[in-house]
Amino acid sequence: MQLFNCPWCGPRAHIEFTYIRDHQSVSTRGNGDDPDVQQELDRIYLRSNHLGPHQEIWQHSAGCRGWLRITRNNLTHEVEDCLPCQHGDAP
Amino acid sequence: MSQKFRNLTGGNISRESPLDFRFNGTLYQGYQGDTLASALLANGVRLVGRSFKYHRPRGVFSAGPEEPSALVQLGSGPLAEPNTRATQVELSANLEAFSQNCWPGVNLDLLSINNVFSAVLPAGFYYKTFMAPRRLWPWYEKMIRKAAGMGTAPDQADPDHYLCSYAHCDVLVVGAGPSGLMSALAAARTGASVMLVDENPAAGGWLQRERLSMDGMPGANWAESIWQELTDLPNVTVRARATAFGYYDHNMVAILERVPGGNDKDLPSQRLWRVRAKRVVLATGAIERPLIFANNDRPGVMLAGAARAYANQYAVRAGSRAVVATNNNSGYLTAVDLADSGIAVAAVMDSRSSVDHTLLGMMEERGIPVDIGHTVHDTRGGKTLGAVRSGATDVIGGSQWMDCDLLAVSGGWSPAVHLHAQTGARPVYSTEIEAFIPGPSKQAEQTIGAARGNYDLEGCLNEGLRAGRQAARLAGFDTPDEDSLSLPETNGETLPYGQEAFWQAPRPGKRSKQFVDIQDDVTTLDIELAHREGYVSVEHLKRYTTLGMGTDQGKTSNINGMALLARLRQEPIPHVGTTTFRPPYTPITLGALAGGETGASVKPRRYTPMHAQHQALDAVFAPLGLWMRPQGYPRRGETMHQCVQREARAVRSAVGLTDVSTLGKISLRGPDAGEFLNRIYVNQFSSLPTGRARYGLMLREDGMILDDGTVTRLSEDAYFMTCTSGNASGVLQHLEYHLEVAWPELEVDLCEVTEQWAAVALAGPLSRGVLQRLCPEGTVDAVRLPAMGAVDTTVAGIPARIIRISFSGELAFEIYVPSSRGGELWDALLVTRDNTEVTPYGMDALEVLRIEKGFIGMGTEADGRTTAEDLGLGRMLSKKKWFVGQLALQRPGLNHANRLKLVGLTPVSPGDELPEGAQVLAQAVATGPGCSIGHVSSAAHSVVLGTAIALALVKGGSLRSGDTVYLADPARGANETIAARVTYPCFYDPEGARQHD
Amino acid sequence: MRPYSALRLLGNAFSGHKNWPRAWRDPEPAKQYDVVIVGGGGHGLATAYYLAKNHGIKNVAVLEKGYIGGGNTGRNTTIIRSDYYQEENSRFYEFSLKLWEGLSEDLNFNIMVSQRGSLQLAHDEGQWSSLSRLANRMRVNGIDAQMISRDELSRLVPILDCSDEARFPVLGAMRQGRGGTARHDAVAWGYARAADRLGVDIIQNCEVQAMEIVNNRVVALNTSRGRIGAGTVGMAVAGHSSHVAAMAGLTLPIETHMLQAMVSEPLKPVLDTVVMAGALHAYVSQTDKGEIVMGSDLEFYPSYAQRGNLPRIEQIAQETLALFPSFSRLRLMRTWGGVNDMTMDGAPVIGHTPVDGLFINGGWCYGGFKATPGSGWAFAETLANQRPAELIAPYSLERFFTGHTIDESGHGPIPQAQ
Repeated sequence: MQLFNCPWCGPRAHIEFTYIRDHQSVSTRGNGDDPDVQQELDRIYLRSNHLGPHQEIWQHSAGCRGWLRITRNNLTHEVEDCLPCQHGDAP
Repeated sequence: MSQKFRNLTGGNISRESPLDFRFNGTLYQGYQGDTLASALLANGVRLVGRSFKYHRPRGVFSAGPEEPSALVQLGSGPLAEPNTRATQVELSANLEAFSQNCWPGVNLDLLSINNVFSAVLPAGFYYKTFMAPRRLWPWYEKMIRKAAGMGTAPDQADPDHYLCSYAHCDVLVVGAGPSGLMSALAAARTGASVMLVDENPAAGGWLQRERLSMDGMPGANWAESIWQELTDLPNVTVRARATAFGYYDHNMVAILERVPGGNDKDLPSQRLWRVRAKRVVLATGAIERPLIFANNDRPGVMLAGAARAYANQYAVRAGSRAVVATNNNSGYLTAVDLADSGIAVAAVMDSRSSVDHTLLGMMEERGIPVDIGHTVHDTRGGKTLGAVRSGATDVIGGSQWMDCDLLAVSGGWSPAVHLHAQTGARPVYSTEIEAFIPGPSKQAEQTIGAARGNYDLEGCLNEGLRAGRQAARLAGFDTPDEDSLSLPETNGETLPYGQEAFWQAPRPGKRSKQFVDIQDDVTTLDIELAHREGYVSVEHLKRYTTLGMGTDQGKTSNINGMALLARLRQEPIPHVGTTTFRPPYTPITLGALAGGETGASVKPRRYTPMHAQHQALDAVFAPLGLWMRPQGYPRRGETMHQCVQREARAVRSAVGLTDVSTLGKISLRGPDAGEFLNRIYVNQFSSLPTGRARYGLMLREDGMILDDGTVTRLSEDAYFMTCTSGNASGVLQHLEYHLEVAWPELEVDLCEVTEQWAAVALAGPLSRGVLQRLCPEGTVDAVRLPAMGAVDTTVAGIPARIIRISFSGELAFEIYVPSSRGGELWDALLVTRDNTEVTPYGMDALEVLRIEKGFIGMGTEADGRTTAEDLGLGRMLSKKKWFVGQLALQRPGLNHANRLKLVGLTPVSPGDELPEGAQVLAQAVATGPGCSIGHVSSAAHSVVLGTAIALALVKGGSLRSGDTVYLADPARGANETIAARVTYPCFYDPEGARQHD
Repeated sequence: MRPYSALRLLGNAFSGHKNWPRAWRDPEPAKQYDVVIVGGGGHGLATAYYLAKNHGIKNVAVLEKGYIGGGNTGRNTTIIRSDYYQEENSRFYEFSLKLWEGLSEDLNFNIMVSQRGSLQLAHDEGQWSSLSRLANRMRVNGIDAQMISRDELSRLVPILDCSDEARFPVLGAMRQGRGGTARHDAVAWGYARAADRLGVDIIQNCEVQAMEIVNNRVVALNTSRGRIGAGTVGMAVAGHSSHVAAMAGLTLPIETHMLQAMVSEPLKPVLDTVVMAGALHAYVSQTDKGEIVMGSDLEFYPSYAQRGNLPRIEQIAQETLALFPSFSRLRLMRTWGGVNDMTMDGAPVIGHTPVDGLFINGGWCYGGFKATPGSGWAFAETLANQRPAELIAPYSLERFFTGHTIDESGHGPIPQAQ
């Protein structure tokens, strides 16, 4: 089973983590931002779903509950890196 | 009884430990170290079972997990194990086994009539018929199902128990044959942590079955000595009887170990290992293929390597007069070993055009004639082998019949590439050995030895040594310079492989059955038929003919089948490809996969801190997910309905106490906490005064309601949030996600405290009185603690947070204390110093109360498809700020008048019930598909109205106020609909005066 | 093309089965077709069949990158039923189930449709209520469904653990008598043969690699077997929908997740109905060959690997044994995985794309196999008329943007939760 190198806990089996969503679909909208409904709906509903590496948001839910951005290939399951979420920028 | 076919000496069995066992009720004897198969053969038992489709006689075919024929029902009653390979059963005292798939018995099986009708039962026959008349299909199907299947499932609970383990190591070696043993030893000497597993009870792999000499001792003894050496090393774990069955992502290998003496004391009968290794070495050996000729499925026909194994390892003569047929040099080893074990070898049929003269010399020494360019064409003999007919490889018919009761066949050896291929790697075809060998690895593994197509002992040992060192080095452990590990001396008769492809003997007659898969009864005719009909991809061939779909998953049949397909397609074998290799490598017990998580341990149970108190009050519990919550506290002689009515009435008229500890609770703190809550909730929270609570609604990003709950402001930057029990983990994730991923710039800390707080609701007109006596003077007076107010204080001396929230619609106080003191709080509130009776009430009564008030429930009214507006809460949506879900709410589909909206329902006839789950119709009868206008989402029997009431989601909602609608509940037997009136969704105190008291 | 029948089988037995013709031809692709369907699974083949049969459109090709039925059609747990709550789903799946009922005869290929009932178990009051709501909806819509008590359930399925000692005691179940199973491979083969008989070209080993789009209209497909011109193109590629749609510059509301399933060794009949357990997420049935088929949740991470990991297999075993403790000593024979095209509301996407002449049929989540005949029928009508058939009009791509999502599970835009 997949092994993720949690930045806080070290390598842990994937069943300790919860897949949340593709990083592309994350919104950092706060108050006062331009209310573009179409853009918002595209973000909520559309996914590239391409074959190959993706940046994915996972939570180490059964461990430290930290939030990770994992670059993982959805065909081979190769993991390029596991970074803390705050490390990354908006999509 | 006398083990007529057992030699007096030889073999790796313990003659000092004879064992009694029964097969089909007859008593036999064998020895410790036997398998059931070797013991049966020793006793001359050749007929073991019947094949799947034609019910043809079946016997022992192999000596390992690839066994397709000798399947037995092992044991009886609760310990029965159907479909068990006799070749893998270790003989034990008083073992019982039975033939399966035959009736009334294996000797006379009435379903063998199928064999007579085999002409109308070719591959795929069922697709071409049984279609008409349609009403007879269920009857046909019943017949098919009865005839199908092999063993019989036990009908009682399994008395065995199973456990799981994790293991981590630097190097995992799968297979303790010569290459695996050398590999493990070489790796171990670097100091790396090594795990070595083998599916057999003893180490050695094919060394157990040969008469090779290594370092001056029998190969099997050499293997045992290495195994022992490894066992004694502190950095090595060795496990016998352990089958590596699955290779998963990131170098995790799953292994199932059969534990000897399991279920005595604390031992499980099987142990599932999940092993994470830095490097894996696959030394899984090779599996022999049979030859294909007419009636090659008769008991007495067996793999040449197996016949040899029975002779050498078990001292069993698998027959008295044998013929060997081969297309490679290993067949000659069998001829030698059989002859030396006392079997008369009548001839060797070698399909090749020429044979090494050393081999010819060996045969001449023993007086065994060799027919070059010949092969077996046919067998005869009834239920077991009586004679074979051989002939030239290219001439139909064959020449003479030869009497024999054992035919040892070798069509070549196929490397066991299963684990390698499970990783997604593609095996490549080697024309050198006419078999698939491992291709480029997809994981950190390497395949060595026979599993790679190397059938030379010295070569295997060398490879093992190098691979072990390399694996260790890649895992970070170098071989010390002074390591003097050297290869053992070998001087046995290992021959070059010398295979020449020979896939199919000539077919004697048009209808002759040449079997390719002897479990599922797939013949060359079936493969030709499939090809003729266009099922020409290897997957179609498999699925259409069922080739390789039996319990052996084609271990001895897939390659032969592919070769035949390739010939029919007139393409080279690599173009045909292989079918997909899937875990498990050999079948594994479901119970072992479940491990300890069976029975009550399937999932944990969650209890509130007051569980003991509820039990003491004889509560009836109901599950909510993993939680156990009191449904009610029925008194003696009360029905549940009466109990619920009594409890609800008590709350409305006096005072009740309920456990709400399961509520999700979250503590938030930070300068941006208010802003955070503003973004999460639809309504304002940054303006909430300290010491006040506010009901809030949070949405999903698509605008639907996610959860409701309350937030209490404790100080300038500290808040305390509650949310519904069932949604707690979802809400927590929602909040954490937004804090950590979406808005990391907000300074807010968040902590889930669901289990840290026990919580109760004390509700009813007399509740303040009860609480006043337990709190410091004046703390809970109406002025000091107004509606929606909050205070940190003590109750009965216990530090407590009190929030005036009401889910019942009465004057109520939610009281939170540290969970370890929940029981104490409960007891203190129930026992009052005056005569006020505080009535404990459960979830059902709470439901009645909240439905009377029209308070929405998560999962019932808010079912993931409803908006705030749908539920009459549109006024809560702030127009002054953005919140999660706001933009998506603007979609027209979420704003039209005919959406399902919240209404109340009362029965037109006061005595009628309004069932939860009923469909709402506009007319008294259903008028066709799509006529439903909604459904009853929550229902109760109202204590204030004395009639049934319900909340419902109905198209158009309040536009139908005053209308009569009809409730349909045909699925629970209601033949007529029930008339109901649409009302405002609140049946009691709509202004909320009572809770604001 | 001579039909299949018992008489023919008998007749051919005498001639050693040498006269059975090919089930479908293996033609070279033509240069141009009126309609090209990308994807030779059950849905694509069914579409081709109904195009020819219902609409007389026979200049049709089905392009399959591997062998037909090699995708999800050959990997599912074969359950068919029409117990759906949302009106659009209820209507669609019931239409599909009715087609199943006559399918073997229609195709002259025994699909082995076995309507031996399917059960959804209720493990608490909340589930009992929602299953009752579902059953009532079905009945009001004229579809068979009933709630049965624990005692009745125990009689129907004696080996099911209906005791109080079960970890999740059963309260009862919803039963659809007409639910059951069908032989999945046979569906692909049956439709292929029938479509081929009507003149459709089935082109295997033909992978679409690019689309030629001129003035926003698809005109041809570039494939591993050459350029194929097309008047209309229908995509029916399930888990690979995003990949193929991307060739036209489209992004879909689909994320591909892996679903595993498994079978035991074959046994004499011991379970003659389909059992699904909501609380435990598991579903169990027994094939006509005797194997116990078991399935449960997705892997919950996106994957095209078609190979799963062990934890889900362990979970399926645990859940199956929680329902059927007597299965503990049975052995698991094989596990496998498929690629599920999960949408953002759990309902499929069928209909127009922004590119003219290019239509989509995908996003079937867990419901693809049982939808096969209905999907083929409706997609054929859509392609024939160049506009969505009424039956599947609600499944348009637009629905996410107009707010007309069809959310059976109520979980919202979380593909792994559908």
